[in-house]
Amino acid sequence: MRGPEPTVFVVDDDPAMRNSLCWLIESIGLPVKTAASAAEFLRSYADAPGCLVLDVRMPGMSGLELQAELAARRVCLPILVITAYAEIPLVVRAMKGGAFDFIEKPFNDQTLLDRIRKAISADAEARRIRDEQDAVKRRLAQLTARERAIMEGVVAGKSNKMIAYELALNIKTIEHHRSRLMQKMQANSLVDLIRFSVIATEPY
Amino acid sequence: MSARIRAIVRLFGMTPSHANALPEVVRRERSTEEVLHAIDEPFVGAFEHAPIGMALLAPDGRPLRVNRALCEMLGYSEAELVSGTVGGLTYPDEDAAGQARLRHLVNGEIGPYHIEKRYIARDGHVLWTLTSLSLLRDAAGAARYVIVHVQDISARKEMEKILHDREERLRVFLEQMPAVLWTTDVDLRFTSGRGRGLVELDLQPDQVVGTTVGEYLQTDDAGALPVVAHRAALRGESVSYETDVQGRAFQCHVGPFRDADGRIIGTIGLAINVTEQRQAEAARRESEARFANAFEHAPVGIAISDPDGHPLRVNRALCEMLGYSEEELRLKKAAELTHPDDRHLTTEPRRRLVAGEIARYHVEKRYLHRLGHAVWVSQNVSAVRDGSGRTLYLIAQTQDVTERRRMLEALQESEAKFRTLAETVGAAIFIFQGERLRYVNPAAEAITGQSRAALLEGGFWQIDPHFYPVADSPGIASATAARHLIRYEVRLRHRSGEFRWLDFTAGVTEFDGQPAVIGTAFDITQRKRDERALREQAHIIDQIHDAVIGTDLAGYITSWNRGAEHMFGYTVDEALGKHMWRLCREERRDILEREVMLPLRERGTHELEIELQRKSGEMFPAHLSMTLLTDDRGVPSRLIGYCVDITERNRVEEAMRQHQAQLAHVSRVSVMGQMAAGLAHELNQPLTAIVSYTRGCAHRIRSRSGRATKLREAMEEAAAQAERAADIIRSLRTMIGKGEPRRDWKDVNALVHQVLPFAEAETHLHGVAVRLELTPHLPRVQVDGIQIEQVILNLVRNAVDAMQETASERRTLIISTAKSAGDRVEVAVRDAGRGFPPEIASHIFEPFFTTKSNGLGMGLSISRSIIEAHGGNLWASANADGGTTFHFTLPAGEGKRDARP
Repeated sequence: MRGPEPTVFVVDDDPAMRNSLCWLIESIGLPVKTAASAAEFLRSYADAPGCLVLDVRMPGMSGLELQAELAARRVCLPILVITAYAEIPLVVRAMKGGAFDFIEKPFNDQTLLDRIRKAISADAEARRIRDEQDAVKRRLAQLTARERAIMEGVVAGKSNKMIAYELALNIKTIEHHRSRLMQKMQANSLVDLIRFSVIATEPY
Repeated sequence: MSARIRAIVRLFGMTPSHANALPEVVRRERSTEEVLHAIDEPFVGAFEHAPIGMALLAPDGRPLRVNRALCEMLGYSEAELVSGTVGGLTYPDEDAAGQARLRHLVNGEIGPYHIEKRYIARDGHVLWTLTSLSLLRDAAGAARYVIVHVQDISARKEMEKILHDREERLRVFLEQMPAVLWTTDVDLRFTSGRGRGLVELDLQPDQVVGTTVGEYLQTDDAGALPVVAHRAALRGESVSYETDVQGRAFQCHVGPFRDADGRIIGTIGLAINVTEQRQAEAARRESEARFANAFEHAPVGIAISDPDGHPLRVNRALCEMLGYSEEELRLKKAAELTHPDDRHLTTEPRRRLVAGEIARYHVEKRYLHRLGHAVWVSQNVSAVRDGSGRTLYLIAQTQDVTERRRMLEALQESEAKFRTLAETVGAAIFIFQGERLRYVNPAAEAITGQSRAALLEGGFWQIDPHFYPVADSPGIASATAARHLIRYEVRLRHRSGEFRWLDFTAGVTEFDGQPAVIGTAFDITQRKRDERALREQAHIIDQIHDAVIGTDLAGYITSWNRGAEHMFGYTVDEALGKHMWRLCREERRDILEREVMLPLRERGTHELEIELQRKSGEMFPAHLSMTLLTDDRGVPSRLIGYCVDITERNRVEEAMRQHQAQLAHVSRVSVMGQMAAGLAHELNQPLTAIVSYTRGCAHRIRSRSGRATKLREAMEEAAAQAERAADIIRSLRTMIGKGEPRRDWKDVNALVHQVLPFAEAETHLHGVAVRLELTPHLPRVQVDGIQIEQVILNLVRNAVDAMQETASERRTLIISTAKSAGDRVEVAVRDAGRGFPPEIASHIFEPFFTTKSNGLGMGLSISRSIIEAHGGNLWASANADGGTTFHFTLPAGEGKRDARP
């Protein structure tokens, strides 16, 4: 499933920086959306895939504050932090706050573009996993309570017989429910089922 | 005759003459019988007047006639006796036998006979008689009369009885007593030999009878003493002699043996074995000799005096005691010798002793020595009395007790002292005996909180169960046995409940003549506390990292803590006794003695920084703080040195100073630094933008995707950003160059002087000497004084830094001022450092160039900027003898030397 095209969001209060970055990033064919402030960005952004290029020093909401705000909104956009010179404490804070990477200006254009590409692909992978997890969770939600109990038994490696004994049910009933839940979970094999169960319980 | 012989004779109530009398009685009896025979014929006249009793009986025994003597004998009249009315005349037992015997006589069956028979007189007493009966016949031969002679023999009978008894006694005596009694005839031939003494001579009674004295003695010598004695006895003498027979001593008495008529018919002798007596005498003599010897040599003085007190005999000891000779003493009465004050002591006891009221008395008194001093004596006086109890003489035994007396006095004094001391002293004193306290002093009451009575009431260990010895109590017992002092520190619970520590010493003494233990106890509670505090302090001192050194006043080390061990490397054992200046360099010791000890004695404390030497020889800087300790009276007693190794402190201080210097340095360039930082940030933005625009263009051109208009716009944007950067730099330059610096007229020499205090911190730290070569009266310069001072300071710092590796004696920095060509004043700072290698020399004034690891490299650059801003020059030159000189010139104030602003 292909979603919308990944976009590079550039937030910088300096128009020269904003425009020049936009000009540079577009030169390799990536769509760029710019914002002059954190607030402006937050107003326009709606969970589009891509990455965020952010100057750490800005009037109003600073880059770090925006980062915190995004985390609070559970927006998982990879953030590339641009710093003027080695402001180590700021960098450390940014990285701890979940920034994808940082880059010091003046920078080499290739370095910047490489990191942007990496950030976008990381975002794509994260979105894929999140989508799958969502799908599995949706399927799991369709299971009846009994099917869910049987699934837990199967995933725990128990035989039908054992599950039947534990749940005080006929083995035939177990087999019936089992085939139903395999269908509902869209699992072709026991391996699939176990994977889904792991995905469903992973924190993401 | 000896007393013993007399005694024997007295005992038996007889004499040899008594013995002689015996045959006489027998002779008289015989004559009486003859008289009776005579009566047969001339009968009648004689009958009546016969001196003995006579009776004429009919043959049937009927009395016909009795004479007067018989009547008197029996107490009856003739008529009474002849009438035959008197019955019971004959003793009852003999009557029948007498009648029978009379019939036999009458019948002619027996002849005349006499018997001893008893009659009973009228007054009832029994009468012994010798009665003779004979028969008178008529011519026809028929029995006509019986004539009876009655003779009273009661006296004889009594005598016989007495004799018999006495002979029996004599016999028993002779047989029992250790004596021999013998008799001889005139030929000195033994006629008898009796006595138990025979046994000792191996003789049977009368065995010697028949042998002569000479034969018995086996001697022919007529001169032998016994023979002579016996012969003398035959002449009527009584002789005593002593002789030894068969090893035994006999005392012999021989006298004449006479018959009843006094004729000597032999000898009679008595020998008594006196062997034991002789032995006893010998023993007595020996004893007497011994007594005399003992008397003379007795260690006590002995005087024998008459009842009046005149000495009869005195012994040597007494003479020596009183200093007189025996003769001198004998002339003095006891009273004269006695000390006048003591004479009364003996008057009454002596009187009573002499009077027999008492057996002896004892007195202790003083005699006067011949030399005048008193001699204390102890005297026992007893009396010797005769049989009637009369006092014969007095025996006084005298002992010199002066020494004892002196000791007693000393003892009493000592006792008094002890009491006084014990009652007033602060130490508690106990005397205990067995399990009980016998004495306690007031201090003991105070220490225990118990009353004296309570203490004496309870046993020693019952004072309080908590009063226990630290060591076990058998220790006391063994020490008591060994008689040495023992010492404990014990804890006692005072009655108030608090604990008191006592220093308790016990020793053996005597109390009331019995062994006892005396204990002395000091309250050392405070001392214990002090000790604990002291131990804690000592512990703390030991834990201190720094050296704490105690010395005596002369400086010899008396204490040495662990810190000192670590600091100096000497152990305690090595350090004690050493002089503390041994911790310094030898050449410094005298100086220290002056520089430290003198002020220390004056002020009590002294602090200094000093270089000290470790055991390894290594020198190190130290901060030494000396304190003079005084004792309780304020007299100096000890020194305490507190020594801190300041190697590290110095290092840190130096580091701090350097750091401060750096900070100062940084602060001086901080304006510049901030400017540079700001410049960097400002320039970053346009530069980044330029890069982005141009790279973006390049990408598009490469991919041929950019439209020309877009590319042109981007290029113009890039150019605009470049202009923006240029604007920033321009504005910066404007900012730096903006405004004239404040300028005042200054004397460069004054500026140099103002800089020096700041520079000194650094020069001092690095051991750099500063020399000023200032030219006086220089023209003033119009300058910003602070900026010029900073330049000078900067140059001084550089110079100091440059000399870090220079030998210390060459570390000299010279600041000079001079007038220079072209109305200029020149300031030069010259160092003795390494100088600059040529390749560096051309860079030293460039900004951010530095040879120092921690420098920013702005110093010379800024300095040059400042100097050039003042219209001067700053340059460096190499010295001929090494090192570098930095010069700067400043334009002088238009020749006006004294110009005022």
